[in-house]
Amino acid sequence: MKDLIEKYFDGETSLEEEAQIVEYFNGGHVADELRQYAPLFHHFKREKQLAVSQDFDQKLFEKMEGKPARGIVRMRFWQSPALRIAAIGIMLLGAYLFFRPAATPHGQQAINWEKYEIKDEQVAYEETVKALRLVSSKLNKASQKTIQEVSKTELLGKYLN
Amino acid sequence: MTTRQFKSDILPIKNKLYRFALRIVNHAAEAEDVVQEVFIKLWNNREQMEAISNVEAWCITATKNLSIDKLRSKHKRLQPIKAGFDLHDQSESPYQATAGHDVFETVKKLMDNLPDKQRDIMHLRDIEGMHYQEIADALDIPLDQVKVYLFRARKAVRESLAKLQMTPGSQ
Repeated sequence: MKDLIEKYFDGETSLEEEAQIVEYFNGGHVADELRQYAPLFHHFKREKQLAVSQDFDQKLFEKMEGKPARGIVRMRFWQSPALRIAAIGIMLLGAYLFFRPAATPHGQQAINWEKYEIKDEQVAYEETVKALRLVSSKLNKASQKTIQEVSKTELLGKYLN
Repeated sequence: MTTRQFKSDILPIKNKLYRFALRIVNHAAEAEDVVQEVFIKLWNNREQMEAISNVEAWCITATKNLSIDKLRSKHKRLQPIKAGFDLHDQSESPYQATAGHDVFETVKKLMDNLPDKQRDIMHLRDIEGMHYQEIADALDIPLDQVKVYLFRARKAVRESLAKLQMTPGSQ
């Protein structure tokens, strides 16, 4: 073994021989003259036993699959009782607002439009003609305004050119 | 690379990478983080990995680089390479303390105090049992240089052990 140790420190041992040396120092009896080297080979053996923690693989594959790492709090919506109650409340409120009868201003009666409905055909005709005339006059006014603006733009264009 | 290939070919080297990272960052959780990052990086680039002949060497290189980055980013350092590591402080000879924790720490310190390349090479050879060529590939240095650095590392450790043995009061 002494020769093998010398060979080791000269950097001439094979991997197999180095394994033999480690086993020698971690086995039973060690010669007095070699005892000073024992801690080194104990260290090698002990160091080789160091390993990652047991949940390393799980954490790794979670990351590889894009899942959040453990330890990050990620509560699902329905797992929170408070949020569940709040959600139900919001839904009930929404349903009430959607389905409730049309609101009227406080202290006023709703307008009864049937009261204003025209029954006489002639009157209905005249009212319709009046309404169409009003629309027609507004449209004519808008057309004239547009023509004026276009004319101004053309004039401005002449000056600029 | 499929998940099955990853599990069968890559995952088994996790402890080797972990120990190598641990040697540099000197912190268990950070060493695990480094290995995890290396594997994620490998997995995310698995298409390009087909072109790499020695994936294990790639992993060791990545582990080393990431470990060094981690140290730098957190402004952490291993205990500095001391001139000042006082071997004479030891009250026991290595053999007397073999059963105790101190010896383990002492030898660990001896190795930590080696220059980086010597330390890395001695670790990969004596703890991981790697061939010279594998070490040369992983650390990207010539084969001859691996042997020279290893010789120097073992010589330095031997001298330190001898000094410990001769320390007054150690017998």
